[in-house]
Amino acid sequence: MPARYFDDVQIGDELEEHSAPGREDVLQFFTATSGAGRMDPDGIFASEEAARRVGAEGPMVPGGMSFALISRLVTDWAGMEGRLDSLDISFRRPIVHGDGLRLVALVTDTDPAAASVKLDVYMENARGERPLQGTAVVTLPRRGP
Amino acid sequence: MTPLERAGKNCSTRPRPSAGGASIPAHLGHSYLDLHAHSTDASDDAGGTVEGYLKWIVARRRKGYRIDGFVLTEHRQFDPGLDYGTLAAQYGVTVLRGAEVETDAGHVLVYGIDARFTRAFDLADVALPYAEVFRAAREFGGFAVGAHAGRPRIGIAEHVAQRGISLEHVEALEQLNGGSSVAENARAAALASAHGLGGIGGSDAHFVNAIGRCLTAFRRPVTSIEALVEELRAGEYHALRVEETLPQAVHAGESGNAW
Repeated sequence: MPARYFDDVQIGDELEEHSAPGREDVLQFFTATSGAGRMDPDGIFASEEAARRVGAEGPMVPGGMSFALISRLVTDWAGMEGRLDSLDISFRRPIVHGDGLRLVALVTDTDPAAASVKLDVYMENARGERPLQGTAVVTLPRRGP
Repeated sequence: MTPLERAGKNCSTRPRPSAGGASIPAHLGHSYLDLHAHSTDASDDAGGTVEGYLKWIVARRRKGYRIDGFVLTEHRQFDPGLDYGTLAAQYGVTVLRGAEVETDAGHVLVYGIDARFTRAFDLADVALPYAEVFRAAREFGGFAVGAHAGRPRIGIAEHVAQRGISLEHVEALEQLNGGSSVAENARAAALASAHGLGGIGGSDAHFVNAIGRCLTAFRRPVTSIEALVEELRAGEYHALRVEETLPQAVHAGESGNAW
């Protein structure tokens, strides 16, 4: 993973990944984070019927998984020497299995004194909606003299 | 014909493009404002600061986009003492203030709020009588717009379709909202068109990168809330996306806008 230096970052810099998490991905997430078998087959993260009962169009991607995906986007960008100081996320709409998502982070401000960078992060689906939005603050190393 | 009916006739729908999509040169003073934005100063679901918005707009301008300013429409409140004039001047951006209130027919953007309006309504109420809000806004010298009109529950289109509510006092809708889906914006535009209402654009920004995504174009410079209300009442405005402000987009006639 290449290092990211504060000196090279500018307001407006953008990074983007694509993802379309489906049932298998959600199962893997539950297995990795909660132990095998924790995904309730009749719950909103697996069952079409249960999801529709709460107003979603299909089984949903858990918020924790969305959080993890966007977190990885930022930490991969920050590099091994970067530090994620905060990640503040707002969940505004459900993400449904198979939704094609753009995961985006944009540099919105920089603090030269602290070598910290503020980013907006969001996920955008094919309908143009942003089901997840938030901000991240990252501290980056400076280039040597 | 009531005063409101007369006023409604002044509200145009989106202007038809002139032949070849010719634009009015910038020096003649048209302006592009984002009429719907929230900040950390007063909206608890926002992550963008006012200064963050200003820095972002400056960065966007460097890339060729044109955003002249925005209107802070914080949720369910209006503090007459707040003034962003000094900060805005540092960045060369117009910052005006209105409010987004909640009614029994969805959310409503109100511009030109004065003490009469805040005395008449408890802005924290999440079920204000929508018709009264639209009527009072105009009566007290302001202007009201149905926010994100195509969204379920919080947009007025669903209330028209399901409950058949009257649009008698409604003069304009937000037909291009940065937080709405393509289908929701199309629904709002269809309702505005069907009823001859004006259509504004606003980002509904809660985070910095969203500011100015959707805009409203005016024929004249708008640098005060009074001028904004005057232009909205005159009805000479239309909604557009920020990409349409790029010089090449306008000159190529891609936007379909005359200005």
